[in-house]
Amino acid sequence: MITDFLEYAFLQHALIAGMVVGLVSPLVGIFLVVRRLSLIAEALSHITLSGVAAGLLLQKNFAFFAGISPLFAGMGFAVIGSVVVERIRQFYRSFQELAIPILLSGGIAIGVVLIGLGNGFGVDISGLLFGNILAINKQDLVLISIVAFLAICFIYLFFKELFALAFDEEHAVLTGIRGKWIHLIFMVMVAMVISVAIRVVGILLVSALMTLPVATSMQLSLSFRKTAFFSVLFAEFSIVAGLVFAYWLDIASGGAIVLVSIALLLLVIIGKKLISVVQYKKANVRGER
Amino acid sequence: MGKTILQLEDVSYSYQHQSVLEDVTLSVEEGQFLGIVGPNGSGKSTLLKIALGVLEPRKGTVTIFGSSMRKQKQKYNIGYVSQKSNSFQRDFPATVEEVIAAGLASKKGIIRRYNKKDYFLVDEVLEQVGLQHLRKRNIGQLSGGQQQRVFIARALISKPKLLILDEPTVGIDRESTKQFYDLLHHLHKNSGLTLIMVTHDIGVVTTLVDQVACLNKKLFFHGTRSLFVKQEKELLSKAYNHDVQVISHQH
Repeated sequence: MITDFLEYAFLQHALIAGMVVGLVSPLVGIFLVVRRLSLIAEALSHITLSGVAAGLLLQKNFAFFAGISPLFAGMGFAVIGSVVVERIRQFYRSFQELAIPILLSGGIAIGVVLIGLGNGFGVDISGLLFGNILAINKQDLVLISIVAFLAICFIYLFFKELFALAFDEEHAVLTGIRGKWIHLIFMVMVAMVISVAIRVVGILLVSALMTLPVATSMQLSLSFRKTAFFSVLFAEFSIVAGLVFAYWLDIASGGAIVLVSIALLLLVIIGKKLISVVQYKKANVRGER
Repeated sequence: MGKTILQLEDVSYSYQHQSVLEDVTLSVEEGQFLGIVGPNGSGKSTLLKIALGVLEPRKGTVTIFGSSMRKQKQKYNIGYVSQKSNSFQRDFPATVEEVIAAGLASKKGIIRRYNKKDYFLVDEVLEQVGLQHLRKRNIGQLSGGQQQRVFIARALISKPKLLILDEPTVGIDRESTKQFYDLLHHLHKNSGLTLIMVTHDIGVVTTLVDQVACLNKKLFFHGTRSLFVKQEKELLSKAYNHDVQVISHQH
């Protein structure tokens, strides 16, 4: 099977795209999770669906757009969506999560209407919803890499501001960090990462890639940097193992990747429980003596 | 003494149509420790926000470190410690060291990353607050009192000239509160830091601080502690007049 991965270009594309997305998704995801915004990834991915549908509609009706990947339109919608989320959050100061169902349902609704208008486009809608990593071509790979590079640069350069804002926004802003701007750029990065990660795991599963590895890593109660490091590690493992399973067992790749990361989360939780039981017993034995 | 750190002149503030501060004139000199007392909703927190430059007064002027608030770009000259309960998520994955270093984020400016010197500063402030042994511990594993000392350290690391505390001991047990006040006393006496603290704890005002301001929309009193202690009963009944709750305290 390893020879297959060496031999076929589509498998190599899948593997590289997966590894790149596995690096960048948890790195932006960790800031979403600790700010309790993980569901925003969900809303933005649904907005991306309407963008991709709009892109497909343009492709179908105008020759000019024929060669342009509908992912660009998806990305544009997601970026606009990320700004709209912030605006809506300001309308409901104490019910900020309302922004999520509003955008989520709005995104799906527009997507469904546009897909209907295009008579289904004759394209792989299930690939869009659940991901089809094996269909990634060179153009996609380049786009994924550029987005990942930008997002990683941003996180590297603004790491201390992002951390300070995530930990205690009030204090960070009071000491002079320009919270609004940094948060806005960050949300745009999130939108872009989501729109490329969709190629790997699909719209319905993309937020899993941003949150599950982080959730697993947070169980280890490490420092923030180590939590970020381990979430990348868990994400990479899930993607590679998921991809291998998908190819080997001929199952959906997006689903396989997410299932592996859920398995990792369960393993870590069970492992933690076992360790604490063992420690408790040891302490009791010592106590009896 | 001598140098004025903070000067409020005829400062008024209102939220929509409700006035919360009226013509407050107040100054804080270098090295002073000012305690601000007053009933709930008396405008204490609003006053702090104005001093921190978060809110702009509707009327009056604010001068800090000798120039107007708007010109103050270097907000890290002011350290700030809020109530423990509203500052962070308990399960946040971060070590004490990472939290304290975050206090330097603004001073270092964008793009620059923390270096060895910064981590040396972390050591220094950890020693000041007596928590060196907890450096690598996760912030959520600390007690409330210890967390609050971490936040003092985070405020101190940027070497501020003024430290502002907003009811810092709310939700902290009595023993830790005492230790916390000892730390403030130590900082005030040994580093010449100027402190402003809003508190409900009248007992602390009459023992720890050297200047007292008694606030309820208007400034009822501003002067030395000994002067405050002399007129305490009269002042408090005047300032707390409209408050239903009767405040009792013991020395």
